[in-house]
Amino acid sequence: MKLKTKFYLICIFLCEFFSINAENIFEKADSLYNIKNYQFAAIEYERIYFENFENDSVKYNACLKKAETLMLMNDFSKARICIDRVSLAQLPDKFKPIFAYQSAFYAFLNDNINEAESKIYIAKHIASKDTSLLLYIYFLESNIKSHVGKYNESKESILQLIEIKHFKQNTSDSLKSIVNNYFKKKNTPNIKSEKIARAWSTFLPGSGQLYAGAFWNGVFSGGLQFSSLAGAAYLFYKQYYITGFSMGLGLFQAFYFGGIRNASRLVIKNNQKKQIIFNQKINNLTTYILNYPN
Amino acid sequence: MKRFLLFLIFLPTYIFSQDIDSLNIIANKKDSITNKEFAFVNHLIYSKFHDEALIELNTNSILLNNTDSSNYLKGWTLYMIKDLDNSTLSLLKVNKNHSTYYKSRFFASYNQVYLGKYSFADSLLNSISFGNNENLPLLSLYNFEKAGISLLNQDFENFNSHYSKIDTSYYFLENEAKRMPLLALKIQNNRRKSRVLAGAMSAIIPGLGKIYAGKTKEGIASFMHVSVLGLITYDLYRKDKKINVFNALSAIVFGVFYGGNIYGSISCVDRVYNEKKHEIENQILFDLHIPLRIFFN
Repeated sequence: MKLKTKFYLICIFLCEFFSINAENIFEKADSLYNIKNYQFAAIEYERIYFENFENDSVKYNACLKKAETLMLMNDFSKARICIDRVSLAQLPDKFKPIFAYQSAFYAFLNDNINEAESKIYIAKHIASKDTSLLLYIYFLESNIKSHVGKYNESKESILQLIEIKHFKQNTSDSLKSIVNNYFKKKNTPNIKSEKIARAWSTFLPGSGQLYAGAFWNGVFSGGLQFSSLAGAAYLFYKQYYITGFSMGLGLFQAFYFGGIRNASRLVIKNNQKKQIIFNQKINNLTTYILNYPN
Repeated sequence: MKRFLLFLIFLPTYIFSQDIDSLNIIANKKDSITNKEFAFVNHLIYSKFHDEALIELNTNSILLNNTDSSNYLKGWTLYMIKDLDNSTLSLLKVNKNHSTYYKSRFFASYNQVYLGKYSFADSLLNSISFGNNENLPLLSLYNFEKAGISLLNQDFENFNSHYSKIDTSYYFLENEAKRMPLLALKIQNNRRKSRVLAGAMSAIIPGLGKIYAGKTKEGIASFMHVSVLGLITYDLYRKDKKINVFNALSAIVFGVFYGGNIYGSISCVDRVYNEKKHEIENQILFDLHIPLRIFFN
């Protein structure tokens, strides 16, 4: 949620690029927006979009403002519908970059990260000459790339962001060194392989959990499996063959296969945890760079 | 003087005609505003902003004055967001003379079918006033919906009576109408198996009752569980040849699982029957919906 709040500010800021000379048309909707009556403001922006279908400038501005209003209502999916109903190919050239960016932005907010990744790629190419928009595109791109685990590309985007901010040489150098430090191998999430965890658990019970970084979980899982085997052996020794076979080995096979599944789940869970922490760090870093005075 | 008299004679006529013109202009303007508002609500619905459409319909005074159209649009929006009871209430408020009357009634009825209130849905169809309307496709659709509801009620006599009145050559119900007799046959063939027999079979061989009910894999799994527990009890008793805590506990666990398996087999009969019934009902519901959407599109 904290992450998304930061993105709000960027979106609001972006809509100001397209202030137009049709204030009387937007007067009612804007005043509703200003008093935070977002539900009715959204309806009024939609009315403007509907009634000015021939006027591209008014129509697309209404669309952008409505998406922003819906986002402030936490209705990301509707905000996305609002932006994505407009085909990029049909848009006038001046609106293409902002719509491409917003489309990626709302895909990201709706947790469609892969789609956001492809859309931000398009936005970057469309807005190649629009430096002010490129700032936000690199900002979003670095966050998206970090989410999909492409840390080198995320780092490249942040370095690009620093480049186009045109900082003084020493500021730029110090920011770049901070970024390089963030992306050193020891600081990026050490993503563990689910396959390796399963393989460890297959051959040595409990070791998959240890590989995933869950020590006590591994000890417990291994302990259960060894004790069920020991129980089976004891029952065989005491000549309770059927009981030994069905209880001891039955329990062992349940713990054994459960242990493999558990190791794989733990790897996924721990990877996600590490990624969330790192993504938050990247978000803080990019926000800091974006707001850093030139 | 003559001209003045003529002027006096035609003056009221002129003034009256001017009044009518201005009234017509006002009325036309009002109509155009109303149409624009309804077009906007339609646009909201088409754009999938259903919440906004509902707010507009509930707060815009121009729309509220046009009760039929606004009730229809409200009902339609609620139908789109699957608030089916409220959708029915709104759709039923549409008057007979309104252009969306038939659509409203048919969809109000379908909403109730979907909610499982078949008799209410049927009574809603019965309440449709066709008057002198000899719209044959509409009458076919009416009989199709009635036949479907009869099928859901397992009233085969009524089903046959309505089904015979359907003209299956209409494009909007061609496939669904042809499928309906097959579904009727499936319902008739879906008979509940004997609970007593299933229980008795599971008492003799654990899991056999479930296999009889139609759940083979469940039956095999039950057989494995219960027989393994039985074998463990035997194994624990075999060596000592006397009752102790372990074999007594094992016997209790075995007994619980054995009894549970018999009960499970009895309830499995009902479960299998209901699953099949539910599957057929879903197909009927789906088939009742498609022609409505095509016909009133």
